[in-house]
Amino acid sequence: MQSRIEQVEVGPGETIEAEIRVADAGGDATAFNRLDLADATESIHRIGSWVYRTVHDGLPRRPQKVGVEFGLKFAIKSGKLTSVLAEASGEASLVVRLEWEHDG
Amino acid sequence: MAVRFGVALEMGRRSTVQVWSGGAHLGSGFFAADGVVLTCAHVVWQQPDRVLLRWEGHELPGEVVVRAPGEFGAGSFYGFPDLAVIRVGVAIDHPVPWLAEPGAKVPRRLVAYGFTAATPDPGIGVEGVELWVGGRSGARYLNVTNAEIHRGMSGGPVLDPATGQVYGVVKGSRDYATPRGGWLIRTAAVQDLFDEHPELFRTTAPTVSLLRPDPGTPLYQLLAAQHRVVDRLPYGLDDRPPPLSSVYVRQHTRRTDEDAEPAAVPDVLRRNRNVLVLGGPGSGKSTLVQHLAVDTAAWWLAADPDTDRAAAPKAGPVVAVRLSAAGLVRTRAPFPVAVSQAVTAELGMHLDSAIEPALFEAPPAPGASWLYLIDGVDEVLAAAERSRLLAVLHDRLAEFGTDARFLITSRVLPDGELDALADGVATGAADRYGEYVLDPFDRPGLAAFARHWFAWRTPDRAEALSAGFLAEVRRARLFSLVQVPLLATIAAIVYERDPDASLPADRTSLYRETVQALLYTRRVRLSTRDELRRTLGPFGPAAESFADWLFDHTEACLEQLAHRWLERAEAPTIEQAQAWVHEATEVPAGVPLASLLRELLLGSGLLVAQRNGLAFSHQSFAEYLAAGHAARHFDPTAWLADIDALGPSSRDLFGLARWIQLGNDPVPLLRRLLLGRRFGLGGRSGGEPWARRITLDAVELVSGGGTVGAWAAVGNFCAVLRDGIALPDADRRELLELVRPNLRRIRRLDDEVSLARLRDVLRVLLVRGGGGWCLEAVMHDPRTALVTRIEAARTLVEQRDSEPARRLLRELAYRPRATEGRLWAMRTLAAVGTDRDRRYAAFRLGQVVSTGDNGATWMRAARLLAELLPPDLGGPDGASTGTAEAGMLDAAVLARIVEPGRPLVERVEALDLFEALVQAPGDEPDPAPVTAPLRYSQPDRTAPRLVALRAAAAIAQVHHRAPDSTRRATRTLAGDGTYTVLERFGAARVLAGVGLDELAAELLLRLAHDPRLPGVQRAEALWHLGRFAPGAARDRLVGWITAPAADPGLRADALATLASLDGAAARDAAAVLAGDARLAWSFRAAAAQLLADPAVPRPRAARALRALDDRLGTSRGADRIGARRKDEEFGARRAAGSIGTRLGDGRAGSRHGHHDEGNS
Repeated sequence: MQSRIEQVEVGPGETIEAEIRVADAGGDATAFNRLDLADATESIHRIGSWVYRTVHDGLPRRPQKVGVEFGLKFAIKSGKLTSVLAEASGEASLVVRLEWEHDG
Repeated sequence: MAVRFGVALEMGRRSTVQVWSGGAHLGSGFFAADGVVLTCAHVVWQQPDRVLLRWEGHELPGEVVVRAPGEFGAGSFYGFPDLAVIRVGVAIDHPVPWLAEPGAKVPRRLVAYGFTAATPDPGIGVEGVELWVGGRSGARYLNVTNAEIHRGMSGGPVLDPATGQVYGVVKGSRDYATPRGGWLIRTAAVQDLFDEHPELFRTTAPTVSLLRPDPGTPLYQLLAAQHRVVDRLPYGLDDRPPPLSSVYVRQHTRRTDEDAEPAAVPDVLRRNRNVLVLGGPGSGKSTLVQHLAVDTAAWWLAADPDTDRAAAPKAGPVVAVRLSAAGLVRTRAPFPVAVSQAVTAELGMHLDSAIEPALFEAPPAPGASWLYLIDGVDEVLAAAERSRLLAVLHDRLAEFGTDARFLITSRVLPDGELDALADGVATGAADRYGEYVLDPFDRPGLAAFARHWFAWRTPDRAEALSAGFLAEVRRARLFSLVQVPLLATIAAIVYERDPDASLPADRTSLYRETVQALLYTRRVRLSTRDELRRTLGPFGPAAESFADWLFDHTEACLEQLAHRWLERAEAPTIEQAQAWVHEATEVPAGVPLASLLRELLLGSGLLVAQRNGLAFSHQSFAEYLAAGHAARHFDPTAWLADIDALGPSSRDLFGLARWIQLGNDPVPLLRRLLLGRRFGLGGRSGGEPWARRITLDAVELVSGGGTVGAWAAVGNFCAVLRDGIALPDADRRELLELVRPNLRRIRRLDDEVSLARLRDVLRVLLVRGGGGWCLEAVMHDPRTALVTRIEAARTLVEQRDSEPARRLLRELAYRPRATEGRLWAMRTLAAVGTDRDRRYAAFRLGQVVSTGDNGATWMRAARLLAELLPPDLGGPDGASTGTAEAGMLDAAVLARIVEPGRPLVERVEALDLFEALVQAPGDEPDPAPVTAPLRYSQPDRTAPRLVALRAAAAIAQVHHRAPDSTRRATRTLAGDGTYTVLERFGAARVLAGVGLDELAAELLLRLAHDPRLPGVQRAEALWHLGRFAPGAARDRLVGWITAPAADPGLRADALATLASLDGAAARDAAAVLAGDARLAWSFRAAAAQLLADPAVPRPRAARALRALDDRLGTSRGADRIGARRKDEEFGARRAAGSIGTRLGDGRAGSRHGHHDEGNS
């Protein structure tokens, strides 16, 4: 896996540079990929809801507080930005921490 | 023009563009057609339609009009074909490389171009990489290796370096960092895309409404000054020259490299970006240039747009700027500076301020180009200067993407000097450069000129003078001279001066009359003489007689100046004139010679003042005057050598004529001319006739095929004749006698140019040389080439209405065992013969076309026959205007196209010719700029499928003109086993498609009734018929099905076909079939079952029935095979039930079934 630096859109007209994994060294030889961070954030929702569901539905007694921390790396798939689950401590480009407190 | 190695590749590289959006470089693309850029869809993916194209320093707006496909798709690469089309928003001059034929074998090595940041240069640069073709990648991409494909190269063209043809579009890279290549999109995908979007190529260049300049702007000033200065005749022949715009007569031009129709100059400018116009002395080149300048200026200056509603000047969206070539070479400044200096010098005081070079560095107005009219390249006399100018112009012509266009005029220069101009320019785009010859006046043109001229000069007597002038031209046989516009002008002036005197019959005398008038007899000049004497009076009697001397020697002085100008390229100056006077006579002291000379010389109108000195008002006047000098120092041998090397120039002919006018005998000289250089002895005059004859025979013997020498001798002699030399009868006869052996030696006459030359020569011999007897001898001379004899006869018929000549033509055309020349004789007869000749010749040519076995012969016959047609068959109703000959040609070629015994290659030849010959009636040529169509080479042209379709199209095209022969052709096509039945169906569909139902039906019915064909195809023929004539098809099918005697297989096929055409009728018919006891049980059962069951969709029923056809043939045998027996018995039982119980239902259900069909 190689990685390269690409511009990623984070909002209208705003970009940041991010390290992106590329599955292999080639691809459509365009000079410019329009990458939108929004495309990659879906996995945060998915992981979050998976954790939440697992804890709520799977455990006989629900814990008072649930936390999850995971890392995301970015990659390009089908020309779009996508995120790949990574070690939270390792080389992740983005570390996400989610917590739920349960009062009931 | 041949494609040169390197140039072609260069065109490919230069067609590559950068695609940008929102400040980001997206990738590459290239011009795939006029105003159309091709790139990859992934390059513009998620980008707005408006993109920016960067190309050779230009920023062009673009709009993505096609994205194929619209979205990325599921894979890790953008989906196939991954192509996008960007339309360029402005008209710009750009190269277009050729696309390789989709099926062509891909070369091993290709070169890809694209723009990338991965070059050592900062920013985005072009990268060219050599790629090796590995093979197909999937069915749809090409796999290439050998070099890195960098990011940004997507969309770039991939070319064959040898031919410059595009074989693919860069799609993706295997590895941006190592030379592992990647993938290309094949041109087949490009073709498919373009086929789906024909609208991309039909549009013309985007129209921009041109904005006229405001008064006070530099452009306005330039145009206004040019309009004032240029609207006069290019030569000051008279005190009262009419404005050019009131006497201009439009002249046509024709391309030099093809046998083309004459075209008006504005059309020529619409077809070609750059144009070279060639013409002889006084042929109207300068006039044309001035007319263009004035005409376009008038459009741009129109104050009230309503008065000039045209959307653009006639010459197109250009601002024409007139520049004399001689003025342009005076400077070595950069081009815009040189132009500004030359323009400022020429417009002089008519300008309020100098025109700045900056004006020429940008387009004159949005959407418009500069059209530089470079007049008179030949008038740059120094060869080195001239070749420098040509080199500069060549580089300008070869440039793409500029706002400069050129129209260059010149006389033809020896040794192909002007070829340097076009070298390599036309590569890549055929319409970048065209070479045209200015046609002289034709008779209507001359008449128009006379009308305009006298209407301006003598409005009250215009009609009478104009008619008188034309009559005098006819009487003096001057037409071939006054075809030249300048000579027409001169002749008109000479005539006008004394309408009762006869016009001189030669060019030199016309010039002499004019020069004499300009110098000595005009009223203004007479007063000049008095003025001169008054001015010099105070200096004493010597000075007064000097005044007379000076006045009388004006011509001699001008002759000297002209001589030095033409011989040594020394521009005329007052100092030179002064030096000459001092050498010739004693100048009384105190006389202000310089100012006197200035007045005297400029007052003649033969010299005009320019910013940098003096110049002759027309080059031909300089030549006439210089010839005065030459005639006094005339050396016949040197003259002959000169003519021999370069042909007779206008100057040579003036020299000879003026030498003759000095009292010299031209006959020995002309004899030497005609005998050729090897026979110097011929120059000795007074030889015995028999001795001459021996010499002539020797000439022939020795020089055998010396065509070149013979052409030169005859051509040069005719040039002298045409120029109007006066010869005593005996001498003329002797000289014409010498022409004949030369004509005999001319053998090669297979091109239009030679033919035109020959006709010209013969006409001059007859008209100017009085050589009727000579032509008669030529026409009967068996040793002369047939074409020459035929043309001699033609000239006699045309000019003298000679019946013997017509008889000879008939003999040459129709005698038994006639040779090649017979076609030409027929053609000639058809052109100049009687009505009967015409009809018969057309008939015989048609015979050759339809049956001739020699490819060259029949095609030639077809071409000749085509030429017989009136050029314009106009009117949408072709049938009424089509002549017998038109029908004859169509019928003849059609007969050839459909002849079953002819190899397909020959039919394709005939089709090609047919399509070239036959124009659909009412098919007007498109006046819009010709947008280059996609340039593919053809698929396999001898594929029978294609031939059959084209043959049908050919039949359709001429049906209205030759209904009988198209019917015959259709019948032949129907029975032609060269084509498969499917191919013949295709032909029928073509005919039906254009509404020729009757012919299509005829074709299909012949197939349907062809007993050699299998039943299924015969039935299918009726199915095709059913698509446009359902009633006829149904009746016939039902007929077959219900005919007990018919072949059972055919009946089954017919039933199946009918089922898919008309369900209700099929049910009815099936009942009959099922009840036919002679048929196999199995078939009857299945038919009944299938057709009685409304749940079975009809197409399936049809298929099933057709499948049963196979069983049917063997059903009687199969009955005895045990394995099947059970099934069949079972089937029979069911059938019995079906027939018994369902038949009634079937009938009742037919309505039901019909209802079904209505719903489906």
